[in-house]
Amino acid sequence: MSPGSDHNDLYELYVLGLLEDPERGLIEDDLRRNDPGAQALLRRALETNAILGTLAPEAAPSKQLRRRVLSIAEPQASRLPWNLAWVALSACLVAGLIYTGVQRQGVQDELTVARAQLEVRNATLEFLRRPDTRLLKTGGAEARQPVAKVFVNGAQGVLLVAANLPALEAGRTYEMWVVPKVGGPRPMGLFKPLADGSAVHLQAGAVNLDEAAAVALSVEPEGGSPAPTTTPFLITPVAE
Amino acid sequence: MTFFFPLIFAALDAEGDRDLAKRLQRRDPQALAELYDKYGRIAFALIVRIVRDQGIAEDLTQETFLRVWNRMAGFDAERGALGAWVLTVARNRAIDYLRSVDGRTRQNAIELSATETPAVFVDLEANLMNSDRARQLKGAFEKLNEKQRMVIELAYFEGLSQTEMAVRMKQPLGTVKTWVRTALQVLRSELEQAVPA
Repeated sequence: MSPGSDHNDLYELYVLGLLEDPERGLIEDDLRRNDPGAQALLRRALETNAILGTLAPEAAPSKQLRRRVLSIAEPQASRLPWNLAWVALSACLVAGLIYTGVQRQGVQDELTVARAQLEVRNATLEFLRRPDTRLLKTGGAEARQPVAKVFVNGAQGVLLVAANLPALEAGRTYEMWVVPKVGGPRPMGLFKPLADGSAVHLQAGAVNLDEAAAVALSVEPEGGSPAPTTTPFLITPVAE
Repeated sequence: MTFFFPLIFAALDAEGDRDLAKRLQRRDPQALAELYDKYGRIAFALIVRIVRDQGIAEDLTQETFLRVWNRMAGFDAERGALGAWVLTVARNRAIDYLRSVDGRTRQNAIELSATETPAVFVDLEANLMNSDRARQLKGAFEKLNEKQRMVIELAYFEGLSQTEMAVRMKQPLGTVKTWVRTALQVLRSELEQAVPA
């Protein structure tokens, strides 16, 4: 990191998750190098942001909130059931946990992740459930070649379900595109596949299907690109 | 507008935080109660400021403490800054909520989670959130001009990137970047002058 570099003033935005390229890339480069100066700037930004949080006007939560928060730490046994159905459900859960050997902590961690994923899943299901959502035809799937199913809904957006996507290099991401019949591709969001190469990416928002020729993917720098910078693949025609 | 200086002052005890963090790592329910009593109102106030809805803010505050409770294993009890971490998690939950309701599927959503990794919050100043520094920041905030204050609020309390601010404020991106940069410089400079208690 060069002292006095322009991006050094922007670590606060970086820590807030708001910095865009190219400044974000420069800061990430500094941090990847374990630059002590960059680490110091990162700490300073964390400090400033934490203090900024205290500028919020005073507000008092309800007394119930404390109870709700403390319930997080309650052992499952203390919440034992007020009715038979709950007893049965709890017993099943306990049996299931023992059977699978999953630790309760692990389950709680998964719960946190699952909550975050639930909204995406719900949006995905809602999208698929709509009668006007239709499936586009994709190319044949050879073993381990990338494959995808693309669902489109003019009023709702585009849903991509892909498998066998190649692993990305550091600092790269997949970007989905709608390629119009006339003009350049329109960006439709960024995503990264899971370790097994699978991905589900929903880009919500109206799409003019009459003017769309295809849906495609490309590999782009972290943060995305306004137009594809690598050769698009998994090009799926939009046809009735 | 009433700020949280007395509460912040009560939340200074770095030694107490170390002990609290260790007990949280041992899954001590009483420690969770103490954590909430110490940081719950500040976290809640921050979330309310962002989402502007009491009920939603309570849900998100609970989620904040759930996340902290579940991720304590990754926190460095000796060197970590518990308060700063809790506030960061709280802000991120609120900004995530805003993004989900207004359909802002942001390309940097993953980075938002990355910025609350507990291991990052090490070696910050022990008395980070003391009342002097908070007062100093409030003073600095008042020194900002209207545009500079607006961009800081849009970034911190609405989670807008500089590009999004430019659209919202109908200003060129370069102008917004200048406002952001100078605002941060003013705040930082005032904070660096603050004498730790």
